[in-house]
Formats: sequence, C-alpha cells, structure tokens
Amino acid sequence: MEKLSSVLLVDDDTTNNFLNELLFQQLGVTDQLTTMENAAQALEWLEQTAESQEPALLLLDVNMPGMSGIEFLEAYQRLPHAQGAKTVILLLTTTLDARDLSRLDELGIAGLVSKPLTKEKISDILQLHFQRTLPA
Amino acid sequence: MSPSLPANVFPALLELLPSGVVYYLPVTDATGTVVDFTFAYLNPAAQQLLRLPAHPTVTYTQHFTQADSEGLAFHRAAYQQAAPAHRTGYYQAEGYDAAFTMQAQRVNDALLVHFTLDAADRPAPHAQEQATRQAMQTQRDELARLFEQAPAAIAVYRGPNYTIELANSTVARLWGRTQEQLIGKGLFEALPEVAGMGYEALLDGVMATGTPYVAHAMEAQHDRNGQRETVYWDFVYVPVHAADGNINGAMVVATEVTQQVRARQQVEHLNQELENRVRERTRQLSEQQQLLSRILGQVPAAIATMSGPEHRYTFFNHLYQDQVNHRAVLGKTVAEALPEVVDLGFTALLDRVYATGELYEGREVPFHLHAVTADGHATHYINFVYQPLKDGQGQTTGVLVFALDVTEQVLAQQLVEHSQRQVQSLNEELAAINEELRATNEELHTSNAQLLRTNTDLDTFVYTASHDLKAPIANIEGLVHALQRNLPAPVLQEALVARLLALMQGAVSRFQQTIGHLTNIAQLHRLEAPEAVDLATLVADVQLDMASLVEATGARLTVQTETCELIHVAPKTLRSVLYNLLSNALKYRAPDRAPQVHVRVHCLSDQVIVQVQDNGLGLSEDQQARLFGLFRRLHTHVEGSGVGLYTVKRLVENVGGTISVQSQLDVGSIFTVSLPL
Repeated sequence: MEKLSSVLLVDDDTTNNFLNELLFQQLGVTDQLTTMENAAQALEWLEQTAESQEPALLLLDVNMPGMSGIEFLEAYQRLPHAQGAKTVILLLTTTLDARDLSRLDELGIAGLVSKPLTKEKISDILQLHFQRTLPA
Repeated sequence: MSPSLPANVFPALLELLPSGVVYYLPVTDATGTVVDFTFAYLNPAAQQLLRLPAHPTVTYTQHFTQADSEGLAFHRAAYQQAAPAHRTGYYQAEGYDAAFTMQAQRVNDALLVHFTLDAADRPAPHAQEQATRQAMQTQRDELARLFEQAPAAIAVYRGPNYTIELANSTVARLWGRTQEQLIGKGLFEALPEVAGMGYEALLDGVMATGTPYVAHAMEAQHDRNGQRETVYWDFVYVPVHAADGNINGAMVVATEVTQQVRARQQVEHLNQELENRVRERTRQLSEQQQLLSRILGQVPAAIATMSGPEHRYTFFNHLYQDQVNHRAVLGKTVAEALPEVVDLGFTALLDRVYATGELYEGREVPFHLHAVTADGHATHYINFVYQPLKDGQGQTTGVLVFALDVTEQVLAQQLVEHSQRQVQSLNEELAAINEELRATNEELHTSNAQLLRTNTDLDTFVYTASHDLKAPIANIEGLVHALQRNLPAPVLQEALVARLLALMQGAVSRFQQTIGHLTNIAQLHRLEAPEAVDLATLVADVQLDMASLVEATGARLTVQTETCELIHVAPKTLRSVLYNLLSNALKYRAPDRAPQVHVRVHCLSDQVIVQVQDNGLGLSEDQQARLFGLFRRLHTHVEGSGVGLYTVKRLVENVGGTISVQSQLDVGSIFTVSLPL
C-alpha cells in the first residue's frame, strides 16, 4: 500500500495520542505522523507549513481545553491557503452528536470518527477517502 | 060462574056498573096483524066516560086520536095473550086529565075491557073551570119558556134510569147535544162519557135521602166541539116528588165554571211554582251560606268582622278564636274581649280604619298574647289586613280583619339568617385556609422549580460524566490491548498475567457498559414527538425481535390488540416499553413451567392501555415497591443492568403516562402501562 504523505493528529489526550501513534506505526499508514496537543499550536503550525507540505489526513478531537475542535475549524477555514487544500479532515468524537453532524458541511470536514480509533476504523478511512487498502 | 045466579043478571049488572066495560072486536090487516078495534058493546058508564054512543061508528084509533101508541099496543097484547092484562096510566085528552086503571082479557074472538077513571078528574066542562084551566096552561107555557131560556143549565131526570124528561137549550149546548138527542133517554145512555165519574152515587143519594146536593167545580168529561173536553160544574141536585109525594126524579141546575177553575188552577200552579222557586232560592242561599261559612272556617287565616265604632264582633272563624285564645265573643267589643290589644295599639288602628275608610296592612307584626298558646310561642308574628266594610252609600259600618299567623315563617327566616351568618363565618374560615393553602402551594411551586433545576443539573451531570468518562476508559482499554500485544509470549502465558489481563478487560467492559447505560438515561429527558403508528405492525416488529428468545425459552406468546388500529403515540417509547416488558417476562420466567405471556393492547378515547401478563416468578409486595428504581436488581440469576424498568418508567412518565404492576410471588405479574393519545 502506498503510504500517506503525512498525517496530523490534534488531541489534548496524551494517552490517546500515544495509543494512536502506536496504531499508525503498527499499520504503517504513514511515515510522517505529527501529533499536536493544542489546537492553537496546530493552527499556527499549519499556517507556517508550505502548501506542498500539508498533511493528507487531519484527525481532530472536538473537546479540547482552550481552542476546541470546532473553533479550530472555523479559524482554519479563514486561512488563505485552506481554500484549495486537499487535506481530509475527520472529527474524532466520543459520541455521535446530532448537533455536530449538522455542521459537517459548513465546517468543511469529510466525516466523523468515534473514539477510540481501531484498525477497522482506519481501514475504512483509507478505503473511503484514499482508495487504499491496508495490507492483510 | 055461579049456577044460582040467573042469566039475565048480566045485562042488568052491566047497566048498573059505575065503571066502564067495552067489548072490542079486532080489525086485522092483510097479514092478520091486529091494527085496530071496533066498539062492539059499551055499557052506559063506558058510554058516559068515553062520551060515545051505545053503537059508535068510529073505531078505537079513530076515537083515541091523542092516545099514545102504548094504548093500542096494550090492547093488542091483551088480545093476543090468554091471560088478563092490567094497565094504569094518565089519560090527557078530550078535556080529561085523569089517572086510569084498566083490566083486559080476550073472550072468544073479542077483547073485554073494564076500566075506571079517577072521579076527581072527571071532566066538569063548565066555563069557569075552562078559564082556570086556560090560565094554568098559560102559566105552564111561560114556565116552560122561562125554563127553556134560562142561562143556567137545567134538566130533570125521572125514574131509576134517570130518564131525561127535560133538558133546556143551555144544558144541551153545554153537553154538546141537541135536545132531541137527550129527551126521553137515560142520562148515562145519552152522555156515556160521564158514566163512572161519581154522578151516579150523588144522584142515588139525592133520590134516597131527598136532600139536595150542592157541588162546586166538579170535574166532568163531555164529548163536544168534536173532542172530549174536561169541564167543571157548579151544580145542585134537587129531588123531584111525584104526585103521591114519593121522590121519583131529580132536577139539576148547573153553571159551567171550567174557565174559572182553569184560571184558579193556573193561579195555583203559578203559586206552586213561585213557592218552589222561593224554596229553591232559600235552599241555595242556605247552601251558599253554609259553603261560605265552611270556606271561612277552612281558610288558613284568621277572619273576623266587627261592626260600629266600638268594633263589636259580628263574625270570627276558628283560626281567629285560636289566635286570641278563644276569648272572642259575638257582640262584645274587641277591647272588652282582648284588653291587651288596646296597649298594643290595635284598637287605635281599627279606629283609624273605621274613621278614614282606608285599608291598613301590617306585616310580621309581633303579637304578644296574655296566655302562652298551645304551640309554645309566647310571641306570635302576624301579617294582617284591616279592611273597612262599607254599606251601599260608601259609609264605613265595620271592619274586616284578615290575619295570617306567620310565626313559623318568621322563626324559620331568623333561623335561616342565623345559618347564613354561620355559613359566612365558615366561608371566612375557608378563605383563610385557602390563603394558607395558596401560600403552601407557592412554596411547593418554588420547591418544584428547584427540584426541576436540580433534575436538569443531574441530567446534565450524567450526560457530561458519561461523555467525559468514555475517553479515559477507552484509553485504558487501548492500553490494555497495547500491553497485551507488546508483552513477550512467555510472559503472556504466565497464569497470573493472563488472569490479570482478563480481569482488567472485564472491569473495562463493565465500566463501558455502565457508561453506556448512563448515556442512554441521560438521553431519556428528550421528548419524542408522537406520530401515527400502526399498532399491529409495531407489535409484530417487537415479536420478531423477541423471536429467538421466545424460541429458546419455549414460551407461548399471545397478542390481543382490540379497538386499536392507527394510534397517535411516540413510536420509540411504545416500542421500547413493549420490548422491555416482554423481555422481562421471558427473562424472569419460573424455572418449573413453560412461560406463557399474554400481551393485551386496547384503546380508550384518550389513552392506550398496554398490558403484559406472565406466569413467571412474580414479585413480593416488598419487591414491587422497589421495582422501578435505578440500578435496582431484584434477581441476580440472570443478566441485567437494573436499568430496564427505570427506563420504562421514565419513558412512560415523560409522555404523561403511568405504569403499575400487579404481582404475586411464584404466580406471575401483570404490568399495565397507559399512554395518552
């Protein structure tokens, strides 16, 4: 399988990040996994990143102290180079809340993924958004 | 004949005899019937008496021209029979007016007749006598004329059959007959219509006693003017004497008084009618008086009348007497009978009404009697009217008192007022209590609002807690998995490590399950909108969900949905309720018998009732009380979370419904849910 160019994981939960990093490594999804525990920091990082260096997949937690996932998205949409960006953004949620679902379009995100991430969920994401299949 | 008497004695004897002897020879007609006699021999006496010569040339009928037919008939009869015949009579002819006696007997083919004439009436035909006779005749004619023309009805009857000898024109007119129809006939033969009316007895009486009979307005009937008329007579019967002094007849002198009688009868009739009318009117008046008196006696009011300025009683009824303790006396004044009324001012009022002629009306006037009356009230209250009584000229002559005892009503009224006061005070008390209740209610409202806020806070807490706990438990689960993957195989195979990992995995699972339940419960406060639901389909869906469990337990499930088709309810609520109750019925089955579950759904006008009946373990009363609590598990032998019935209760109560249970330990339970429509 062709690995993804890069993946950005934004979540304030360190344990969760550790487990997800472990999962991505095990599955060999990408060689470039960046983890951020602060949404504002992640936004700043993205602003400074060249268009060619943008991540293929952004996994974003919703409930975070300081800037929440939703606030991040609103700010991200205002970024000049976000308009033509090819980054696939998925929201990580603990519950599939209808209020969040209704904002999918206006927030410009590709979908929702319920926590915790598993091998099956990642397989589905690759299949759905990147037409790639994990090796057996 | 004596042989000693010589034959020549006979002619000498005939010559000597003072009485007449005639020897007749019969004269017969062609048929042999004797029609006359010829004088064959007359002795000297006969010649003298009959004024005939010794050998007359005339026959019997020629000589006795004025003789009645009876004379010839007598002679003929005497000739035709053998035995001697006798006859007496009057002979009024040839200047004779004399009584005669006659014996006749047939001798050979001749008739021998011997006769005498009354010597006194022997004719004395000299001039003076003739004149006297003439005068008498005149007198007699005048009498006859007078009799004939008399305005009174006069008749003479003679003999035992009352042969009418005389009847003047007046009587003939009144009897409605002609004189010819009357004279010579018997009275009752001529007037058969009067026979049997009592006249016979009257006439017989007069004839027998010689005493005249006077009658007034005696009724008789006469056929006259072409009809039978009832007429009335005033009359007198006078006996008529014969020459020998014996009574042999009667004379009647009568005047018809029919009109007077009729007039009198009419007057009497009118009198009778008048009397009857007076009697009837008197009776009516008396009845009216009795009625009036009865009415006045029965009127439930005291009535009295008083006359004159002193107000003397002229009338009072029973009730009036009752009201004044039986002291009223006719003729006494009110002040005399009831001295206390003077001070009470009643007499002054009576005076005023009498003086002014104006009515006075008193209402609920207290009236203190001297003696306490039978009903025990010392004070009576009366409504009364003093009505002036006026004569034809409008002058007041008295006063009518009309009084109603209203004591009971007044006392009742007072009682009602008392009750009303009591009711009012009760009302005030109630108002105070109401006020307190309102205050309490407000406090309850405040408490309720606080509880609602607390409840909402709790819901929010549960939601947030369940949400926030999910991430860490997921992390723990991930960490355990990671550890499991990264531990070397020999370590994993160590018994203790394997057990620790399994226990950690189990703890994480239970934690996650609890969080899941909390999440569900946190979502319960959200109201589900009702929609049209086809009940049969919904029940069938639930049955399908339960199919494997039903099969596994060998249960018999029956469903009865009556009077419900399309209903308007919250579909998920109803489905969840039904699912929970059915799965409980199967889960908590009795170990010794196959489960029988009966679902009955029926609709009322404003609610749907769902009943689930099982024959399972059943619940004690103590258990029933704790049944619907959160995380309350009454049985541990089967898997359960202690959330199901709590969830059902919340769901049902959220939409305004109710849930109840009837159960008996080891017999079964009936859960009854009602949901509003």
